[in-house]
Amino acid sequence: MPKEDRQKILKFLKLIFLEKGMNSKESLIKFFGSIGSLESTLRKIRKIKLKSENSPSIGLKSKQYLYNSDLVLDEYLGILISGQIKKTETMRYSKIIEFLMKDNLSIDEITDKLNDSLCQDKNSYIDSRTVRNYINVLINEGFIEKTKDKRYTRYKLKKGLDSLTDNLLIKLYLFVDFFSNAGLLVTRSLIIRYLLEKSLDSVKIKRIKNIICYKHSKPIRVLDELNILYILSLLENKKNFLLELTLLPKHKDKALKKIKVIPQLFLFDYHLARWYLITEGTTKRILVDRILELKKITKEFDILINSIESRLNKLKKSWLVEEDAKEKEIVIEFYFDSSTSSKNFILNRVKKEAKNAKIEIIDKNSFILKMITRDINEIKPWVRSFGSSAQVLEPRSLRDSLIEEFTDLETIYESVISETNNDI
Amino acid sequence: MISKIYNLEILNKIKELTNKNFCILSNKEMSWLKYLINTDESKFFFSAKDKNELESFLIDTKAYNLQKIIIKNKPERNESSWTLLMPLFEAILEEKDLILSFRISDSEQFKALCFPYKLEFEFYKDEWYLLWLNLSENRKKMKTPFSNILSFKTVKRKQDLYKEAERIFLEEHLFAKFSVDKNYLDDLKRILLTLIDFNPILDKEDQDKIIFKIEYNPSEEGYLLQKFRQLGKRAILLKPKFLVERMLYSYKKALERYS
Repeated sequence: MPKEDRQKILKFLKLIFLEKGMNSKESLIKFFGSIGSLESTLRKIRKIKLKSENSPSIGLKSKQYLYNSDLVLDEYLGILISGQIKKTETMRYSKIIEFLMKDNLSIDEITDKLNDSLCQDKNSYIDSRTVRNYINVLINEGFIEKTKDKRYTRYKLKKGLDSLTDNLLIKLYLFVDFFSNAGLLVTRSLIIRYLLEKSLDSVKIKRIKNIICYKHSKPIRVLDELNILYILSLLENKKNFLLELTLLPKHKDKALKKIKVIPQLFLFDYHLARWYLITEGTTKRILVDRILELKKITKEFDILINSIESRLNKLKKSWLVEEDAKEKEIVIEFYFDSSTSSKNFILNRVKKEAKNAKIEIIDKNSFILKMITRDINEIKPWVRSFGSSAQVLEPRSLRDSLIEEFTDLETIYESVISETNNDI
Repeated sequence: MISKIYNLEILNKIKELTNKNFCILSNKEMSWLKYLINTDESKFFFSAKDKNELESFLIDTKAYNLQKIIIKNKPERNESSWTLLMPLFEAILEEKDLILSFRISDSEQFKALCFPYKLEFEFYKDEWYLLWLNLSENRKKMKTPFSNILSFKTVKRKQDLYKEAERIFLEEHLFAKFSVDKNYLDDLKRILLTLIDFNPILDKEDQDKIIFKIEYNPSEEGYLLQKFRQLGKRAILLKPKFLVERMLYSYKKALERYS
């Protein structure tokens, strides 16, 4: 399958995943340009199902598309490796690898062997120039290498994972499985894990899978990963460049938006497992899950290293992505009822999550946190998540806004309870 | 970006022709693996000897350089507890029981005969847990963070309790409902992402609000309420009643503190 098809499938899954069951065919056509384009994407998803045991399953609920899966990572890998390829190409690559598994061979030898085993008549004769192209692909991708053998240039397969001991392969599987589930970027780890799975005994793999499990790792972020890997590969260049991004609207009833930006950095927020692209241009940051399409525009600029460093320093001092608001000190008192539980969970959680804060223990039931941050709106959800176990002492504005919100929430939840009582 | 050879049709054909699985890594994957074995996590999985073997496997490879990424809000890791990962994994793989010393608080420590069932990694806490049956306490279900394990030693297993552990740890799926006021439509994606661990699905939509259904396990109640408190007015829990009551109680208590 061409790369664009792969991207379209990922785009489709992302759209229907992000708005759980709110996307009808009509609303999706807007994002795909035409009904034809949408339907061909759906057909391709069905085709993957025929090839791979792990393929995304699309449901329909009240005419709305739905993608809800516990196997997002496996299905993503299924999409990556189920691309369409010509039968002749499949056969030729597989044969070349088969020959090289047995012996080191020159291009002419490979050509002869291919013709002996694949060609029925003169019209289907494969010439050595074509074989050289296949060999070049295998060299460039790192599967084979040249070897000088009695004045001839021969080719040999590189060492595979099977050159490692079984004991090490199991450890490597665990290691790569960890990064496939809990790493920031998982695509390459998933591919390595797939090849390892094939190299190890399947009973053993099943046992290992039964021993370790990963919870709440938000695998859905993988649907954006090809975009991130692509931009990261561009960021390795010495020159900066312009990207044209098509952004999803904040909700499905609004229009798509196109913007041009110079990408500088990525920022990953662990709380929501969400990526931001930090940019220069009309906007300073973009949520990567809003990017529907992207295009590199060839215009190039010198990278302003000072500007990137200064932004990095500013971002280090913010709770999340705010760079410009004035720094403020936040003082919060946390409470813990030590009589009802045997461990101070609140203190442990705060120590883990607010790494740069100063903590002052008041007594066994309370402590005070002091930290510098910028935009108080960024830290508010975190403070709110502690409910009655936290009280903001400073700044006044954050304290007042929380009191106002809690008052509203008290009224809202009282009405939810009274409605529930009426239902009964 | 993904090698042409990593295609199911080619991989299956190679297997058919050679009776072997293709297991050569492309230079992109080799370079990624070299980057991975130089991460902080590597030392918890590999001994120095393993690392040497991997390094010699990757000798001609240039490590992937993951630059230009800032990570925010990653929880502080308890490094010393991660050293238990491989020994505990090996004990479970080799079907050994444990004599486990663990603590519940700084002053309360226990020792118990343990049937180790699974290892669980909690992403948002960056923390490992041992799921086990306490054989000294009538096969009581236990979940202990590695950071609370003081030491352990392996002992010969008398009885395989895997099936029983599976039954004991199996949790029922419970359902909850929440609403999003249409004034917060612009935040809808963020709201759904915040609750993504609970698989939200549209239940119904009316003029002013959208109602979603979510599923959770009883052991996730605390985490679920934390997420709703985090969202505040953006997502209002409607059912089940006992969780709604806990939300209300939490806001009443918070207002008492502020007054």
